Amino acid sequence: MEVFAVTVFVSLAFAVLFAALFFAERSQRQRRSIDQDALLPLDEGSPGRSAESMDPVPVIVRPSTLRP
Amino acid sequence: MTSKVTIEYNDRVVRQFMIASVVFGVVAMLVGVLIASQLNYHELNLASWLTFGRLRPLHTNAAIFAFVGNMMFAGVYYSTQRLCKVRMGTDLLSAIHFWGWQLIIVAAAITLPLGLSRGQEYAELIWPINIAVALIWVVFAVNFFLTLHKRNEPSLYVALWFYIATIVTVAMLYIVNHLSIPTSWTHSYTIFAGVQNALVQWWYGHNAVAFFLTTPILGIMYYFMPKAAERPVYSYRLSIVHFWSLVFLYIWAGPHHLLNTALPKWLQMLGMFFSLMLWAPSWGGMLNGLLTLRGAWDKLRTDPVIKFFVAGVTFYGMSTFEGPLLSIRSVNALSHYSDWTIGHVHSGALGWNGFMAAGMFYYLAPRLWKTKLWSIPAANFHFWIGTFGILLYVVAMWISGVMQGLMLNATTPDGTALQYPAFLDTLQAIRPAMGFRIIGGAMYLVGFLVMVVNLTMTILSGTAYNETREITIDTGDEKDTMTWKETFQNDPVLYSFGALLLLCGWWFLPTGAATVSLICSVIFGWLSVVRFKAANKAWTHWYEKLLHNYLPFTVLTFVAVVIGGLIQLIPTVTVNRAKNIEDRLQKIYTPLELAGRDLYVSEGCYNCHSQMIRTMVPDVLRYGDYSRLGESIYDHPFQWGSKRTGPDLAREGKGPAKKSDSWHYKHLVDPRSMSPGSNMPPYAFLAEKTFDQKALPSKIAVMTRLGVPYPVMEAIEIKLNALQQGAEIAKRLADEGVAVTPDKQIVAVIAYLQKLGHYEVPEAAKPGPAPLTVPFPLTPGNPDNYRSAAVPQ
Repeated sequence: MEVFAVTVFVSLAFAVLFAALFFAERSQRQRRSIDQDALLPLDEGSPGRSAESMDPVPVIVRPSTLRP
Repeated sequence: MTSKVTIEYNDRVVRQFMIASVVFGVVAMLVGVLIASQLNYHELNLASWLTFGRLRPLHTNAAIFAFVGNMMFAGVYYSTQRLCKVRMGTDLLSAIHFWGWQLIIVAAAITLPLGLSRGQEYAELIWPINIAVALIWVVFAVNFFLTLHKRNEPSLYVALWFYIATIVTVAMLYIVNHLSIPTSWTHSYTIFAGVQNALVQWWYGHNAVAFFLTTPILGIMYYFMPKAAERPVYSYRLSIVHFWSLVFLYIWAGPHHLLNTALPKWLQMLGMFFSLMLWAPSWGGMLNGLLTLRGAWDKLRTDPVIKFFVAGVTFYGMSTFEGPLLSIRSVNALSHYSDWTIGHVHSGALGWNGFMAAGMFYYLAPRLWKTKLWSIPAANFHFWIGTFGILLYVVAMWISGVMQGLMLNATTPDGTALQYPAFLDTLQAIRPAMGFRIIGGAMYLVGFLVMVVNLTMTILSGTAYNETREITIDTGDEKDTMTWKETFQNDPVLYSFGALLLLCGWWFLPTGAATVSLICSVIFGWLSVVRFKAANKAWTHWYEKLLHNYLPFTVLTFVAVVIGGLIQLIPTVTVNRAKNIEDRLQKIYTPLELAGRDLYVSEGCYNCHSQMIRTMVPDVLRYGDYSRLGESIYDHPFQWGSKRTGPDLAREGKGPAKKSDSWHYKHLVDPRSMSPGSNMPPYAFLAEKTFDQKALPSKIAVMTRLGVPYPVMEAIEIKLNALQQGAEIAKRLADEGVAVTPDKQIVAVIAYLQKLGHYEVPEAAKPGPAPLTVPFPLTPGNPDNYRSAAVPQ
C-alpha cells in the first residue's frame, strides 16, 4: 500500500507542478524566452476567408504518382 | 486584447522576381560557359562585343545582380510579409522596384558588351546606371522599412536582421565605391586613385560578396530552412551571435584582396586576421542551418527542397572555410591571381547561392501557383548533375590554380632564376583543367535548364495565387517604443564600444601607449564578463526589447558595419598622397596615352592582366622590382587586377619587358603571331576604329579636378598633342613595316602600353633602406621599409 500511496502522491505532485508552471507561463507573456521567436516562420495564422476552399500547403508529389 | 485581420500577401511581386531570376540565371550561366570556352578556344571571340574582356563583366554582373539579386528580392518579399504578418509597404513601390531593377539589368546587358565600363570589378556599370541602382535600392529600402513600420508581429525574426544589414550596408558600399566625376554621358573617372581606389574597391568588392551574396541568403536560409524542415531553427541564441559577429567582422576583411602588394602591412594583417576570425561566425551559421534538420534528416531522401538547402548550406561552409584559408598571406602568395580564386568564388556562387536559389524556387513555385511540383525526379536530376558539375568545376580550378601558382613561383635551386620563365608554359599546363571547368560549368547549366522546364510545367499546371491569411493581432504588444537613450545607454552597447575603442588604441597609438591600451581592453573585457554574469537578465531583456524596435536595431547594425570601414579607409584615403608614393612617382599620361588607357579599361584588359608586381621574389624575378604605391598614384581607376590569365603589365613599357611598337601592333591584331599558344582575344578592330579625340579635353579637365598635375592646356593643344604623339608612333611603325594612321585606337593603346612602368624619382627622396635594384640573396620586399622615404610635395 505504501507504494500505491507514494505513486499517487508523486503523480499528483507532478500534475500540480505542471499545471502551476503552465498557468504561470500563460500569465507571464513578458517573461517569454527569446528562443520562442524561432517559431515565427512556422506561425502562419489560419487560411483567410477568401482562400478557405483552397489547400494552402501543396502536397509534394511522390515518385509513384508522377506523370509520365 | 486581441483582434483578427485578414491579409492578402503581395505574392505577385514574388512571382515576378522569381521568374526574372530564373531567366537571368540562364543568361549569366550561358555567358559563363561561353567565356570559359573562350579561354581554351580563342576562336570564340567572334566580334568586338563578344570578346572575353567585355563579356566577363557581363557574366559577373548578371550572376550577382540579375540572378542572385532577383532571387534575393523574391525571398525577401515572400518572407518579410509573412514574418511581419502584413502586406508589403505599398504595391506601387514593389512594382517600381521590380521594373526598375529589370531596366537596370537590361541597360547593363547593352552597355557592357559595347565596352562602356568603369573598369572596376563588379562595379563596371557606367554612372547613369549607378544612379539608377542607388535610386531603386532606396525604393526597395523604403518599401521594406515601411513594411516593418506597419508590421503586425512586434518581434523581428532573425531573417529580418540579415535583410536590414543587407539594405543599409549595400547602400553605403555602393554609393562610396561609385563616387565618380562624369566626363560624358557614358564615361566617368572614379574620385579615388591608386592605392586609395584599391582599398575602397575591395572594401566594396569583398563586401558585395558579404552583404549581397551572403547576408540576404542567410536570411533566406533562416526563414525557408525551418519552413521546409517543419521545425524551428536549431538555436535562436546562436543566430544572435552569428548575426552580430558576422556583420561586424566581414567589413574589415577587404584588404585580403591586396595581400603581398605594397599596401601598408598593418592593413594587410588587419584584413588577414579579420578574415580568419570570420571562420567562427560563418561555421556557426552553417551548423545552425544544418542542425535545423535534427530529427528530419529522412526528408533529405524525398524532398528536393531540403536536398538543395542542405547542399547549399554545406557549400557555404566549404567556401567560408576556403576564404579565410586563402586570406593567409603565405597561402595567398600561391593562390592570388590564379584559378584557385575562381574555383573559390564559384563554390560560393554555384554551390551556396545557386543551390539555395533552386531550393527556394522548388519551395515557392507550387505555393505561388497553387499546384504541385511537376516532377520530383527532374528536380533530383537537377540536384545531382548540378552537384557533380560544381565539384568538377571546383576541383579543376584547384588543380589549375595550384599548378599554375607553383609553376609561376618556382625558382631554380639557388633561388636566383625562375624555373618557368615563359608565362605561356604555365598557361599550356592548365589548359586540360580549364577544359574540365567548361564541362563542369555546362553540367551545372544543364541542371539549371532542367529546373527551368520543371518550373515552367509547374507554373502551366497551376494558376497564380496570392495567399490570404487570418492573423491574430495582440494590441497589447509593445513595439517601436524604444528611446535613443535606451538604445545606446546600456551595458551591451557601452562595453562593446569601450572594448573596441581600446583595441583601436592598441593598433594606432605609439608603442608604450598601445600596450597600455591593450591591457586596458583586456581588463575592460573581463569587467564586461563580470557585469554580464551579474546582470545577464537585463542584457537579455534589452536585446528582446531591441528586437521590438526596428529603427534602433537598424541604427546599431549600421554602426557595427561602418566602424570597420572607417578605421580601414580613413587613414589611407585622407592621408597626403605624398606619404604613399614610397620612392617613386608615376609620370602622368599624355593625352594619347590617356585615350589608350581608357580603351584598355573599356576592353576589360584588367580581367586578365594585373599591374601590380607583388613584394615576392618570384614576382620580382619575373616582372621587375615590386610596384610602389607611387607608381599608380594617378590611376583613376587603379588597374592592379585580381587574375593573371596573361602576364603582369606593370613594367610593360620599360626595362627588359619592353617591346617594340610593331610587336605590340602585331600582338594586338593577332596575339598568336607573336605569342604562339596565347589565348588572348584578337583586337584587330582597334586598328580600324579611331580614338575619341573630342572627349580628351573634358577627360583631362576631370583628371585635373581630381588632382592629377596636368599643365594648363587648351582643347586644341590636347588634340594636337595626341595626334602628334600618334604620328610619332605611326612613323616608328612604318619604319618597322606596319602601315597605320595616327588617329587609330591601336596607336593609343600602344602609346599606353609603352608608358607602363615609367616613373620619376622625386628629387627630395631620401635613399630608403632597401636598394632599388634586385638584391641578392633575394628576400621578399617590404613596402613598410619605404614609409620613411615618403616625400612631401
